[in-house]
Amino acid sequence: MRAYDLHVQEESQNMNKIKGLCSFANALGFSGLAIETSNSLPLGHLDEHFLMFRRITLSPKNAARLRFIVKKRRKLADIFAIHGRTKPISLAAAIIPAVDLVMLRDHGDFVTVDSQVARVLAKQEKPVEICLRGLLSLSGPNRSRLMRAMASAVSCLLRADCLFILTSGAKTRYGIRSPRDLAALSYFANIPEDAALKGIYDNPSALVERLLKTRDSKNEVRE
Amino acid sequence: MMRLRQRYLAIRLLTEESMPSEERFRSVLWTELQNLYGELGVSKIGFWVIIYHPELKAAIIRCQHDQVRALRATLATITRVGSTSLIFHVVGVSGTIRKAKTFIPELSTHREKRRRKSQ
Repeated sequence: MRAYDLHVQEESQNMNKIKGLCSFANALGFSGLAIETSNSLPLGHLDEHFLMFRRITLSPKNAARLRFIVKKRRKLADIFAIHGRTKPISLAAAIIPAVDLVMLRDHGDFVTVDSQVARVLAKQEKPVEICLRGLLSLSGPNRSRLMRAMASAVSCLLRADCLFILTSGAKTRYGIRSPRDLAALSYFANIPEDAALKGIYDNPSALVERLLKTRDSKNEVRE
Repeated sequence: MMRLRQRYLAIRLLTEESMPSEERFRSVLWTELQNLYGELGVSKIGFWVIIYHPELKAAIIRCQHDQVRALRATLATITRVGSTSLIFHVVGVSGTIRKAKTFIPELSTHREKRRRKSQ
Protein backbone atom coordinates (compact mmCIF):
# COMPACT_ATOMS: atom_id res chain seq x y z
CA MET A 1 0.00 0.00 0.00
CA ARG A 2 1.24 3.46 -0.88
CA ALA A 3 0.63 6.48 1.29
CA TYR A 4 0.74 10.08 0.11
CA ASP A 5 0.66 13.33 1.99
CA LEU A 6 -0.89 15.67 -0.54
CA HIS A 7 -0.39 18.89 1.41
CA VAL A 8 3.02 20.01 2.65
CA GLN A 9 4.21 23.61 2.55
CA GLU A 10 7.78 24.66 1.91
CA GLU A 11 8.40 28.37 1.63
CA SER A 12 12.09 27.99 0.97
CA GLN A 13 13.50 28.43 -2.56
CA ASN A 14 16.30 26.02 -1.67
CA MET A 15 15.94 22.70 -3.51
CA ASN A 16 18.12 20.90 -0.93
CA LYS A 17 15.58 21.77 1.75
CA ILE A 18 12.80 20.30 -0.37
CA LYS A 19 14.95 17.21 -0.98
CA GLY A 20 15.54 16.87 2.77
CA LEU A 21 11.84 17.16 3.46
CA CYS A 22 11.09 14.46 0.90
CA SER A 23 13.69 12.02 2.23
CA PHE A 24 12.33 12.59 5.74
CA ALA A 25 8.77 11.84 4.55
CA ASN A 26 10.08 8.78 2.70
CA ALA A 27 11.71 7.51 5.91
CA LEU A 28 8.38 7.92 7.71
CA GLY A 29 6.68 5.69 5.12
CA PHE A 30 5.25 8.03 2.50
CA SER A 31 5.57 7.26 -1.21
CA GLY A 32 4.99 10.83 -2.30
CA LEU A 33 4.31 14.41 -1.32
CA ALA A 34 2.41 17.29 -2.83
CA ILE A 35 4.39 20.41 -2.04
CA GLU A 36 3.15 23.95 -2.02
CA THR A 37 6.22 25.96 -2.87
CA SER A 38 7.15 29.19 -4.57
CA ASN A 39 10.07 27.39 -6.21
CA SER A 40 9.52 27.12 -9.95
CA LEU A 41 11.95 24.25 -10.60
CA PRO A 42 10.42 20.95 -11.77
CA LEU A 43 9.82 18.77 -8.72
CA GLY A 44 9.11 15.47 -10.41
CA HIS A 45 12.77 14.81 -11.29
CA LEU A 46 14.32 14.85 -7.83
CA ASP A 47 13.86 11.15 -7.12
CA GLU A 48 12.58 8.29 -9.24
CA HIS A 49 11.11 6.27 -6.37
CA PHE A 50 9.48 9.11 -4.54
CA LEU A 51 6.72 11.00 -6.30
CA MET A 52 6.53 14.74 -5.90
CA PHE A 53 3.76 16.99 -7.03
CA ARG A 54 3.45 20.72 -7.17
CA ARG A 55 0.33 21.94 -5.49
CA ILE A 56 -1.57 25.20 -5.46
CA THR A 57 -4.21 26.04 -2.90
CA LEU A 58 -6.48 28.87 -3.89
CA SER A 59 -8.48 30.83 -1.33
CA PRO A 60 -11.03 32.75 -3.42
CA LYS A 61 -13.03 35.53 -1.80
CA ASN A 62 -16.21 34.50 -3.57
CA ALA A 63 -17.45 31.81 -5.91
CA ALA A 64 -18.35 34.12 -8.80
CA ARG A 65 -14.96 34.27 -10.54
CA LEU A 66 -13.77 30.85 -9.40
CA ARG A 67 -14.05 29.13 -12.79
CA PHE A 68 -12.08 31.93 -14.48
CA ILE A 69 -9.30 31.89 -11.87
CA VAL A 70 -9.02 28.10 -11.98
CA LYS A 71 -8.74 28.14 -15.78
CA LYS A 72 -6.02 30.78 -15.58
CA ARG A 73 -3.85 29.05 -12.99
CA ARG A 74 -4.56 25.34 -13.47
CA LYS A 75 -1.46 24.68 -15.59
CA LEU A 76 0.88 25.95 -12.87
CA ALA A 77 0.40 22.90 -10.64
CA ASP A 78 -0.21 19.16 -10.64
CA ILE A 79 -2.72 19.34 -7.83
CA PHE A 80 -5.14 22.19 -7.65
CA ALA A 81 -7.02 22.64 -4.39
CA ILE A 82 -9.66 25.14 -3.41
CA HIS A 83 -9.94 26.31 0.17
CA GLY A 84 -13.62 25.76 0.95
CA ARG A 85 -14.09 28.80 3.17
CA THR A 86 -17.78 29.25 2.44
CA LYS A 87 -20.60 27.04 1.28
CA PRO A 88 -20.93 28.64 -2.22
CA ILE A 89 -17.18 28.24 -2.79
CA SER A 90 -17.28 24.55 -1.81
CA LEU A 91 -20.30 23.97 -4.06
CA ALA A 92 -18.72 25.82 -7.00
CA ALA A 93 -15.42 23.96 -6.54
CA ALA A 94 -17.28 20.65 -6.50
CA ILE A 95 -18.70 21.25 -9.99
CA ILE A 96 -15.52 22.51 -11.68
CA PRO A 97 -13.70 19.47 -13.15
CA ALA A 98 -10.27 21.18 -13.09
CA VAL A 99 -10.32 21.35 -9.29
CA ASP A 100 -8.74 18.26 -7.72
CA LEU A 101 -9.54 18.85 -4.08
CA VAL A 102 -11.71 20.90 -1.79
CA MET A 103 -9.65 21.68 1.28
CA LEU A 104 -11.06 22.09 4.79
CA ARG A 105 -8.60 23.31 7.41
CA ASP A 106 -9.95 25.82 9.91
CA HIS A 107 -12.94 25.88 12.21
CA GLY A 108 -14.77 28.21 9.81
CA ASP A 109 -14.33 25.78 6.90
CA PHE A 110 -15.73 22.77 8.75
CA VAL A 111 -18.73 24.75 9.95
CA THR A 112 -19.80 25.42 6.35
CA VAL A 113 -20.06 21.70 5.53
CA ASP A 114 -23.62 20.45 5.70
CA SER A 115 -25.49 17.57 4.12
CA GLN A 116 -26.12 19.55 0.91
CA VAL A 117 -22.42 20.27 0.35
CA ALA A 118 -21.55 16.67 1.23
CA ARG A 119 -24.12 15.30 -1.24
CA VAL A 120 -22.86 17.51 -4.09
CA LEU A 121 -19.24 16.57 -3.37
CA ALA A 122 -20.14 12.88 -3.28
CA LYS A 123 -22.16 13.12 -6.51
CA GLN A 124 -19.30 14.84 -8.34
CA GLU A 125 -16.82 12.35 -6.80
CA LYS A 126 -14.70 15.28 -5.67
CA PRO A 127 -12.34 14.33 -2.84
CA VAL A 128 -12.43 16.49 0.28
CA GLU A 129 -9.11 17.20 1.92
CA ILE A 130 -9.18 17.28 5.70
CA CYS A 131 -6.07 19.11 6.81
CA LEU A 132 -5.11 18.10 10.36
CA ARG A 133 -2.61 20.90 10.97
CA GLY A 134 -4.95 22.73 13.34
CA LEU A 135 -4.86 19.82 15.76
CA LEU A 136 -1.11 20.31 16.15
CA SER A 137 -0.92 24.07 16.10
CA LEU A 138 -3.91 24.95 18.29
CA SER A 139 -4.47 24.26 21.96
CA GLY A 140 -7.10 24.70 24.64
CA PRO A 141 -10.58 25.98 23.72
CA ASN A 142 -9.66 26.68 20.09
CA ARG A 143 -8.57 23.10 19.57
CA SER A 144 -11.69 21.65 21.18
CA ARG A 145 -13.82 23.98 19.03
CA LEU A 146 -12.00 22.75 15.93
CA MET A 147 -12.46 19.09 16.96
CA ARG A 148 -16.19 19.61 17.41
CA ALA A 149 -16.60 21.31 14.02
CA MET A 150 -14.46 18.61 12.40
CA ALA A 151 -16.55 15.83 13.92
CA SER A 152 -19.82 17.34 12.74
CA ALA A 153 -18.47 17.93 9.19
CA VAL A 154 -17.03 14.42 9.06
CA SER A 155 -20.35 12.86 10.08
CA CYS A 156 -22.04 14.69 7.15
CA LEU A 157 -19.30 13.59 4.74
CA LEU A 158 -19.42 9.97 5.90
CA ARG A 159 -23.21 9.85 5.67
CA ALA A 160 -23.06 11.11 2.07
CA ASP A 161 -20.34 8.55 1.30
CA CYS A 162 -17.92 11.28 0.31
CA LEU A 163 -14.31 10.59 -0.64
CA PHE A 164 -11.86 12.25 1.71
CA ILE A 165 -8.15 12.61 2.01
CA LEU A 166 -6.22 13.27 5.21
CA THR A 167 -3.22 15.57 5.03
CA SER A 168 -0.79 17.04 7.53
CA GLY A 169 -0.52 20.52 5.99
CA ALA A 170 2.94 20.64 7.54
CA LYS A 171 5.01 23.79 7.31
CA THR A 172 8.16 22.22 8.78
CA ARG A 173 9.47 18.66 8.99
CA TYR A 174 8.28 18.49 12.60
CA GLY A 175 4.71 18.87 11.32
CA ILE A 176 4.86 15.72 9.21
CA ARG A 177 3.46 12.55 10.79
CA SER A 178 3.86 8.97 9.60
CA PRO A 179 0.82 7.58 7.70
CA ARG A 180 -0.37 5.51 10.67
CA ASP A 181 0.11 8.38 13.12
CA LEU A 182 -1.82 10.69 10.80
CA ALA A 183 -4.63 8.14 10.74
CA ALA A 184 -4.48 8.01 14.55
CA LEU A 185 -4.70 11.81 14.71
CA SER A 186 -8.04 11.62 12.92
CA TYR A 187 -9.40 10.04 16.12
CA PHE A 188 -10.00 13.61 17.32
CA ALA A 189 -12.17 14.30 14.27
CA ASN A 190 -14.25 11.23 15.08
CA ILE A 191 -13.20 9.46 11.89
CA PRO A 192 -13.44 5.66 12.13
CA GLU A 193 -10.11 3.90 11.76
CA ASP A 194 -10.93 2.11 8.49
CA ALA A 195 -12.15 5.35 6.89
CA ALA A 196 -9.02 7.14 8.13
CA LEU A 197 -6.77 4.50 6.58
CA LYS A 198 -8.68 4.85 3.31
CA GLY A 199 -8.09 8.60 3.51
CA ILE A 200 -4.34 8.04 3.83
CA TYR A 201 -3.76 5.11 1.47
CA ASP A 202 -6.57 4.35 -1.00
CA ASN A 203 -8.11 7.70 -1.89
CA PRO A 204 -4.82 9.63 -2.38
CA SER A 205 -3.43 6.70 -4.41
CA ALA A 206 -6.44 6.84 -6.73
CA LEU A 207 -5.96 10.60 -7.18
CA VAL A 208 -2.23 10.18 -7.81
CA GLU A 209 -2.87 7.45 -10.40
CA ARG A 210 -5.28 9.76 -12.18
CA LEU A 211 -2.72 12.58 -12.10
CA LEU A 212 0.02 10.35 -13.47
CA LYS A 213 -2.24 9.21 -16.29
CA THR A 214 -3.07 12.77 -17.31
CA ARG A 215 0.61 13.74 -17.00
CA ASP A 216 1.61 10.83 -19.29
CA SER A 217 -1.09 11.61 -21.85
CA LYS A 218 0.04 15.27 -21.92
CA ASN A 219 3.64 14.16 -22.54
CA GLU A 220 2.50 11.90 -25.38
CA VAL A 221 0.67 14.78 -27.03
CA ARG A 222 3.81 16.96 -26.76
CA GLU A 223 5.97 14.25 -28.34
CA MET B 1 -9.74 -9.65 39.62
CA MET B 2 -9.72 -9.87 35.86
CA ARG B 3 -6.33 -9.37 34.27
CA LEU B 4 -6.28 -6.25 32.10
CA ARG B 5 -4.88 -6.69 28.64
CA GLN B 6 -2.21 -4.20 27.73
CA ARG B 7 -0.37 -2.97 24.70
CA TYR B 8 3.17 -1.66 24.44
CA LEU B 9 3.98 1.07 21.93
CA ALA B 10 7.56 1.15 20.65
CA ILE B 11 8.42 4.73 19.85
CA ARG B 12 11.27 6.43 18.11
CA LEU B 13 11.78 10.10 18.91
CA LEU B 14 12.79 11.94 15.77
CA THR B 15 14.79 15.05 16.55
CA GLU B 16 18.07 16.68 15.70
CA GLU B 17 18.22 18.59 18.98
CA SER B 18 19.31 17.43 22.46
CA MET B 19 16.92 15.00 24.11
CA PRO B 20 14.84 16.05 27.14
CA SER B 21 15.28 14.44 30.55
CA GLU B 22 13.09 11.49 31.53
CA GLU B 23 11.22 13.59 34.09
CA ARG B 24 10.46 16.24 31.49
CA PHE B 25 9.40 13.60 28.97
CA ARG B 26 6.96 11.99 31.42
CA SER B 27 5.50 15.30 32.58
CA VAL B 28 4.87 16.52 29.02
CA LEU B 29 3.06 13.29 28.14
CA TRP B 30 0.97 13.45 31.33
CA THR B 31 0.06 17.09 30.73
CA GLU B 32 -0.95 16.48 27.11
CA LEU B 33 -3.05 13.44 28.03
CA GLN B 34 -4.72 15.33 30.87
CA ASN B 35 -5.44 18.29 28.58
CA LEU B 36 -7.11 16.03 26.05
CA TYR B 37 -8.90 13.42 28.16
CA GLY B 38 -8.91 14.66 31.75
CA GLU B 39 -7.87 12.58 34.78
CA LEU B 40 -10.65 10.04 34.27
CA GLY B 41 -9.65 9.56 30.65
CA VAL B 42 -5.99 9.11 31.55
CA SER B 43 -6.91 6.47 34.12
CA LYS B 44 -8.86 4.59 31.44
CA ILE B 45 -5.92 4.79 29.04
CA GLY B 46 -3.64 3.28 31.71
CA PHE B 47 -0.62 5.14 30.36
CA TRP B 48 2.85 4.37 31.74
CA VAL B 49 6.38 4.98 30.47
CA ILE B 50 8.17 1.62 30.66
CA ILE B 51 11.46 2.51 28.99
CA TYR B 52 12.85 5.88 28.01
CA HIS B 53 16.24 5.92 26.41
CA PRO B 54 17.48 9.42 25.48
CA GLU B 55 20.74 8.13 23.96
CA LEU B 56 18.94 5.79 21.58
CA LYS B 57 16.07 8.27 21.15
CA ALA B 58 13.57 5.51 21.89
CA ALA B 59 10.83 4.73 24.37
CA ILE B 60 8.31 2.03 25.20
CA ILE B 61 4.96 3.17 26.55
CA ARG B 62 2.18 1.02 27.97
CA CYS B 63 -1.60 1.48 27.64
CA GLN B 64 -4.81 -0.53 27.79
CA HIS B 65 -5.37 -2.69 24.71
CA ASP B 66 -8.54 -0.79 23.65
CA GLN B 67 -6.96 2.65 24.10
CA VAL B 68 -4.11 2.37 21.61
CA ARG B 69 -5.67 4.78 19.12
CA ALA B 70 -6.34 7.38 21.81
CA LEU B 71 -2.74 7.26 23.05
CA ARG B 72 -1.34 7.21 19.53
CA ALA B 73 -3.43 10.25 18.62
CA THR B 74 -2.13 12.10 21.67
CA LEU B 75 1.47 11.27 20.81
CA ALA B 76 0.87 12.59 17.29
CA THR B 77 -0.25 15.97 18.64
CA ILE B 78 3.01 16.57 20.54
CA THR B 79 5.47 18.69 18.60
CA ARG B 80 7.68 19.91 21.45
CA VAL B 81 9.03 18.55 24.71
CA GLY B 82 10.44 21.50 26.62
CA SER B 83 12.60 23.36 24.15
CA THR B 84 13.13 20.33 21.93
CA SER B 85 11.13 19.98 18.71
CA LEU B 86 10.46 16.32 18.08
CA ILE B 87 8.17 13.76 16.49
CA PHE B 88 6.85 10.67 18.22
CA HIS B 89 7.06 7.97 15.57
CA VAL B 90 5.27 4.81 16.68
CA VAL B 91 7.22 1.99 15.03
CA GLY B 92 5.15 -0.87 16.42
CA VAL B 93 2.50 -2.00 18.87
CA SER B 94 2.71 -5.30 20.70
CA GLY B 95 1.25 -7.25 23.60
CA THR B 96 4.56 -7.91 25.37
CA ILE B 97 7.57 -5.78 26.25
CA ARG B 98 9.89 -8.36 24.73
CA LYS B 99 8.16 -8.13 21.35
CA ALA B 100 7.99 -4.33 21.59
CA LYS B 101 11.77 -4.24 21.98
CA THR B 102 12.20 -6.08 18.69
CA PHE B 103 10.77 -3.02 16.90
CA ILE B 104 13.79 -1.08 18.19
CA PRO B 105 16.69 -3.55 17.88
CA GLU B 106 19.18 -1.12 19.49
CA LEU B 107 17.34 -1.42 22.80
CA SER B 108 18.12 -5.11 23.28
CA THR B 109 21.68 -4.85 21.93
CA HIS B 110 22.37 -1.86 24.20
CA ARG B 111 21.16 -3.83 27.23
CA GLU B 112 23.33 -6.80 26.22
CA LYS B 113 26.38 -4.53 25.99
CA ARG B 114 25.70 -3.08 29.44
CA ARG B 115 25.30 -6.57 30.92
CA ARG B 116 28.63 -7.66 29.41
CA LYS B 117 30.34 -4.54 30.76
CA SER B 118 29.09 -5.16 34.28
CA GLN B 119 30.37 -8.76 34.13
